[in-house]
Amino acid sequence: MLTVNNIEVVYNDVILVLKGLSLRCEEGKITTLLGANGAGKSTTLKAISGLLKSEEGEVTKGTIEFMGEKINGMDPEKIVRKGIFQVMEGRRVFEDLDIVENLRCGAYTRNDRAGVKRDIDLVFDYFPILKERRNQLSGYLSGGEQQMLAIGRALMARPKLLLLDEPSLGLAPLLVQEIFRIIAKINEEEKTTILLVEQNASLALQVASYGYIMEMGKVVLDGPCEKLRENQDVKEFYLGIGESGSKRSFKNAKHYKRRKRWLS
Amino acid sequence: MEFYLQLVISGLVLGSIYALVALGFAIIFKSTSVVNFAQGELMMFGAYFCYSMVVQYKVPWFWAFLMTLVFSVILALIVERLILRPMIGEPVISIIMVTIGLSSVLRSIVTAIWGTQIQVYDPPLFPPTDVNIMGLPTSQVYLWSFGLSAVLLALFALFFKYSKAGVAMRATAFSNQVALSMGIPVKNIFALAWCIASVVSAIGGILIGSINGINVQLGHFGLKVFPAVILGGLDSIPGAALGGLIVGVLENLSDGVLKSVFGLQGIKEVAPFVFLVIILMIKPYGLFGKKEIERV
Repeated sequence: MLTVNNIEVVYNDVILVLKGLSLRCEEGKITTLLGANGAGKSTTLKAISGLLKSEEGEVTKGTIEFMGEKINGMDPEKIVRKGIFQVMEGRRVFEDLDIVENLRCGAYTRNDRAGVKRDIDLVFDYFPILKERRNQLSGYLSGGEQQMLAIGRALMARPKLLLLDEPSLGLAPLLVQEIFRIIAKINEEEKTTILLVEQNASLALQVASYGYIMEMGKVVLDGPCEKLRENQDVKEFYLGIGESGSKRSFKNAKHYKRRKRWLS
Repeated sequence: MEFYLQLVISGLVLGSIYALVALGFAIIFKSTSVVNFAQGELMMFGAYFCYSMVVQYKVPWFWAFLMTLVFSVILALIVERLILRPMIGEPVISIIMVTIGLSSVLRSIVTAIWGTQIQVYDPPLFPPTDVNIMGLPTSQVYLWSFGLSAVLLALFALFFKYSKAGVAMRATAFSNQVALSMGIPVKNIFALAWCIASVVSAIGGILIGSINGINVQLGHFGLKVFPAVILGGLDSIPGAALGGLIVGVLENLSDGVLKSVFGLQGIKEVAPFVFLVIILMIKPYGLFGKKEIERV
């Protein structure tokens, strides 16, 4: 459905962030993109959704194809109309709009009033707490509620491909579980293809079916999530499990050596 | 007593026109975060264009009015496209300087075309006869101006609350980038903001021109709208409306009182700015302006 082919992204004409990154999203599946801070995960999402433009970034090489059509270089509003919707990192709800207005913004590209109304109810089904607070300014919602609103707002656009950028950011563990449960449910019920960027590797590898691991602007490892979960390096660096299955101590960790091997 | 009531009434009328122009100002600030110093000139341009239509080309009022609205939309699109859009992403101070430059250019164009003489609409927009309100003879221009401003303000309040474009404008005001990620065409929204601002200013210009006559001084009216906008809070639309009314009434009352009691002249011109300073000392965000919602 989505094919990112060997792209390079440059910010401000000088800073090379992605160096030949490729990935694919299969229709109807959840794909996850993992990696340390600064690896270029968010940049990848912004390259796909076209939001790079608003940050002086540019895809200089390679192509991004969505359903067989090249979309890099398109305006973000056009890409949304094609069916790709990005939920940006850090929730970013419209704080001085109330919940319903936020949801209506998500449906900006749609013109079927009845459908929009139905989908508002659908979002309220997924997130009942939002219904209770429907007329509150979203700036006064808690972090978890704002994240729910951000995801709900994305659903309003009826996207074919949903790009989620760290939905677990700054949330309590229980809430993170809840959010992930709903992400899986959305994928299953709405048949929305999802590209999930996460720091929380163990949860992401549980809900997703295929995973990519990025470092320094490149994909260094990819595979079906079951396989990735079993991979020694992933276990050690991302899941924090030592060779014997016990948690490793910092004392005998030699991260940097093995990390180096990946980057060679 | 009657004297003061008279002052209040004319203050309200003046204030409602302030409110209208302040609305335009607030819309531009809110959605594009540009402080538009050329607001008064947009108003003047509209008023003069209408004057040309009505007096020089003898177009009936109704059509002249409509043509003025269309003209101000075109003017706004040109200004936005040629001058403001290339400035997107530049530092705020540069953009402010550009609008100040724009105001000079517009003023010179107006002077070049129409000269500096005071002009009046002839035939007048509203019948010149007076009507009685609570025993006070009040000119119909006042009533109509007040009514028209009130209706327009109400319409815009509804527009921002309920229409898709209105909600999208508020969303854009909050964050351009997030609005972009919703598929909201932010550039069009900016253009729309300028169009609305230009249209309401032109209407304000015609109204004030019907009351005081039109001349180049009309541009300064735009400056006097600042106290109104700041009193209401720069980014609040109801605030702009109320701020306009309050400033209008205060300006007229202080002028009338100081003139009759102390024999001081010309207070009218400074009064709004005195209020402005006082307001900024007490409530720097204005009556309705938001400090950012902060989650702790």
